Amino acid sequence: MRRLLLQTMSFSRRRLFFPVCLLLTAGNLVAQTPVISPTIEYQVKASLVFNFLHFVEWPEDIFKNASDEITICMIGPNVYGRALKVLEGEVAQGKRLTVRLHTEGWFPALAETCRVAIFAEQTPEAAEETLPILADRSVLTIGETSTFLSDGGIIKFKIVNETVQFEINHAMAKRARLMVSSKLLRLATNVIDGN
Amino acid sequence: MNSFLSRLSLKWKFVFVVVLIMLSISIVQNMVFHLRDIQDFTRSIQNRVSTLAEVLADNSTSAVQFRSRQDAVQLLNSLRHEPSVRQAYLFTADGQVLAEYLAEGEKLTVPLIDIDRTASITSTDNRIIVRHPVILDQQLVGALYMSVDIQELRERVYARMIFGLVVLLGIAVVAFGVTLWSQKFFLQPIFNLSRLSYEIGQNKNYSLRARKTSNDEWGVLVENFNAMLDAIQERDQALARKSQELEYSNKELEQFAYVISHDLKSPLVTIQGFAGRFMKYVEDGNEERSRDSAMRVQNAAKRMGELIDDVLTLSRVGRKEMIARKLIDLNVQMAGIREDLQGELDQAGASLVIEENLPTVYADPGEIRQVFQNLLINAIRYGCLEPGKTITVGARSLAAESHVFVRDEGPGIPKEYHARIFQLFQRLDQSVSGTGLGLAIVSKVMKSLGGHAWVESQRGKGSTFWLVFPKVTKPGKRSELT
Repeated sequence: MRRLLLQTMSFSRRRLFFPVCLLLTAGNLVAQTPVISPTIEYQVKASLVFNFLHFVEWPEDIFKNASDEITICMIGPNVYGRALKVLEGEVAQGKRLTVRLHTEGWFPALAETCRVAIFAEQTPEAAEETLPILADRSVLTIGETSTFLSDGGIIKFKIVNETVQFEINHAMAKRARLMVSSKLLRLATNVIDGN
Repeated sequence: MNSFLSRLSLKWKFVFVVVLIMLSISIVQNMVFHLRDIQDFTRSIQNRVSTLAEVLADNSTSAVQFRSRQDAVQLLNSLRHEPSVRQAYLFTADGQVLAEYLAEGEKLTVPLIDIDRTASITSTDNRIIVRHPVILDQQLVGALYMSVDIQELRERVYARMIFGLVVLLGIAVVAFGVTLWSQKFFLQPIFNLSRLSYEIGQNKNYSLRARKTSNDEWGVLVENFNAMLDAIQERDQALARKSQELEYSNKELEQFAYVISHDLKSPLVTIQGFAGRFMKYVEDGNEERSRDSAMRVQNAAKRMGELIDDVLTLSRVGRKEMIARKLIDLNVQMAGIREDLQGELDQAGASLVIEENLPTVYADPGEIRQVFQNLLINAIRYGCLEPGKTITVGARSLAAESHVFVRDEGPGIPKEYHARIFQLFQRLDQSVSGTGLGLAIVSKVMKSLGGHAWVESQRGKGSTFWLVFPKVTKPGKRSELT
């Protein structure tokens, strides 16, 4: 699909696939382009995840080698489907992205190797259980449950007027020693900034 | 220009040239400064605008990446604080307009631009166009376009031009004033000289002098000009003096020729007449009469001889080769003269009193002897007609002159004759023997000595002849008078 998409687009750049994806989400913040199907919704969310990676910085000690990758872990059933796998091999902040699916079960110890943890809406207990463990581990946690931020998550997607929007728990991000760019905070519909 | 300048007076030439120089310098200076200023200002606007574009482009990465029109519009709206930015557009990498900003009164005119990694600033007639890429994570994600009005720059140029003109005007006025005021220091001396030379040329008055007001080259010029005037004046005066002298001596010569022919003729006529009678009386044998006639011929011949002697003396007065002037003590000199005249004094029964305060004069002893002999003989002949009279010689001293007098107690001379008696062959009393040259000789000698002679007399109260000598201070220092 990716190859197909790249070919159908007149732009030669590989990366331009994502702006095309984003084109679909462009209305997510302006509430112009409604999300019409679950597939498209998760395509938008996947491209947003990719975009987040440009505006979040991990502590220097996390990436020890230049060849270190940014591992994106999907916790729970893969509702993103192919849209997430497409990120595999992409580059953000000069690092290659890898996608790991943990559809069967979750062991908190695995968090050491995850830099991004996406929690499926269908398994809220996994989030509740894992978030406290990840709180100090410099893992960017992304979820969709209504209590995700209060449970200690960092970025939460929500659908408003059929557009994908997101909220940020800046306090948790700081606790996890993640530097969230003000440019990203500016785009969030809500920012929790506890002391 | 040349003819214009040549028509101006020196003063206005000076003012014109200085003002012109000042203005040229200030115009060049103004232009250089203003061009520099406008250049700097343009550069600073460009810097400001490109910095603004850079910051804005950097700030809009997330908006472009997330395609957030709302955020992009909000970002561009911050340009409200920069009124010179008239239009701004944020493009996504595929060339779509994500957001636009239009200042008041601007119409939406989406520019066609290349979206690439280069930033550019181009200037059109009245706008600066800035294009800046939006780069995220080394990837080109969009571009920012800004159109900036340079009204501000134009206003500044106009303001500068007006300011420059005002400054130029000010400089012109000040330069004019200062030059007008200061030109007198440079040019006043030449104006003075010019006026003076005009006056001298008109009136031939060489006694005028220029006033020296400074110690510079003008001062030297004035000094030299004055020195030249001195020389001219001196020559002028010398010339006048000479021509007067010449005139005088011409007149004298004329008179001399006239009287000499007249006075010499009378003894000659006497000689001729009595020589004829003498021959007749000899023929008649009248011895007594012929002796008388011969005696008369002899007397007339003697008188002629005296006359010729006196004329000779007169002609010698003042001739340099004949005289040797030196300091003479009149007290000593007078004693010698008294001895010479003692016989005549005794004959007339007169006494001569010489006061002891006579001055020392600078003269030739022969000249002095002639002067006093003539005066004393006159005093004896005319002032001592009866015995017992006294002749006094004395002096009084003034600041610059010594006055010596010879006084007799004779009948005196009427006032109307006082001037005439010093002329040639003027004899008041024909009954007394004399040539009529005595006082003329006295007068001429005194003039030759730099002094003069005059008489003070009233009928019946005697006569006093005054001789005025220039005072001798240091021997040899006084000028030679001829």
